[in-house]
Amino acid sequence: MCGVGQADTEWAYIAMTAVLSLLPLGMMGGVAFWLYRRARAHALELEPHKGRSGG
Amino acid sequence: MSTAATLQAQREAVRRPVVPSAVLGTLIFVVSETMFFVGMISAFTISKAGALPGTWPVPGQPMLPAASTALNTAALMLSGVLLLVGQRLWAKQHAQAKFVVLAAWALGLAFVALQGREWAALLSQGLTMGSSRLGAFFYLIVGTHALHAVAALVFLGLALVQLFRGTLKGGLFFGAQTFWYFVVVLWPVIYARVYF
Repeated sequence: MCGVGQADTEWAYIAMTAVLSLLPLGMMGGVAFWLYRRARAHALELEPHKGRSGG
Repeated sequence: MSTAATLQAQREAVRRPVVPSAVLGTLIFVVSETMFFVGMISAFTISKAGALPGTWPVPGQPMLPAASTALNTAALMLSGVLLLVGQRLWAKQHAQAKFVVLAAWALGLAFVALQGREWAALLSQGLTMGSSRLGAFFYLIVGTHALHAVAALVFLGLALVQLFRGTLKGGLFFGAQTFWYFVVVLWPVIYARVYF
C-alpha cells in the first residue's frame, strides 16, 4: 500500500506551501497599499492645492 | 470659502484619523485569523490527500451534507450583501437602514442555527470528534468558524441596538462589519474545501 495517493499528497504539499507562503505577503501588501491610499487621500484633503498642482 | 472656514475644515480633517482605530484593529485581527484558518485548511487538505482509497469518509460514517448546507451558505452570502446595502443606506442617513441591517443580522443568526441543526444530525449519525480524522477536522474547522460567526453577531447586534436608538458611531459599526465580512468571505472557502 506504500505510495498510494503519493501524487495527491505531493500536490497537496506544494499547493499548501504556496498558499501559506504567498497569502500573508499578499494580505500585508494589500493592507499596506490600502493604508497608503487612505493616508494620501487624507493628506490631499488637508492640502488640496498640492494634489491639483501635482507637486 | 472664507479663510476661517477653510482653517476650520482643515482642523477637523487633522482630528479625523486616516483609518478608524476599530477598523484597523479588526483588520489586523482578521489577517491573523485568516492565517489561522488557512493553517487548519492546509492540514485538512494534506490529511485528505494522504488518506487511503475508501477511507475518507470512514466506511459506515455519514457523508457531509453538502446539498443542505448550500441553503446555509446562501443565507450567509445574502446576509453579507444586505449588510453592505445597509451600510450604504446608513451612510446616506436613510430611515430604512436599520431594517436592512436587522435582516442581515437575522440571516446570520439563521446560518448559525442551521449549522447547529446540521451538527446535531451528524452527531446522532455517529460522526464525532473522535470517530475519524474527517470528524475531527470538520468539527474543528466548522466549529471555529461558527464561534467567529457568533462573536461577529454579538458585535453586530450591539451596533444594531445603537442603530435603533439613533446613537450609533461609525467605529463600532465599521469594526463589526469588517468582522462579519470576514466570516462571510471565509465560509465559501471552508464549504468548498471541507464538504466536497
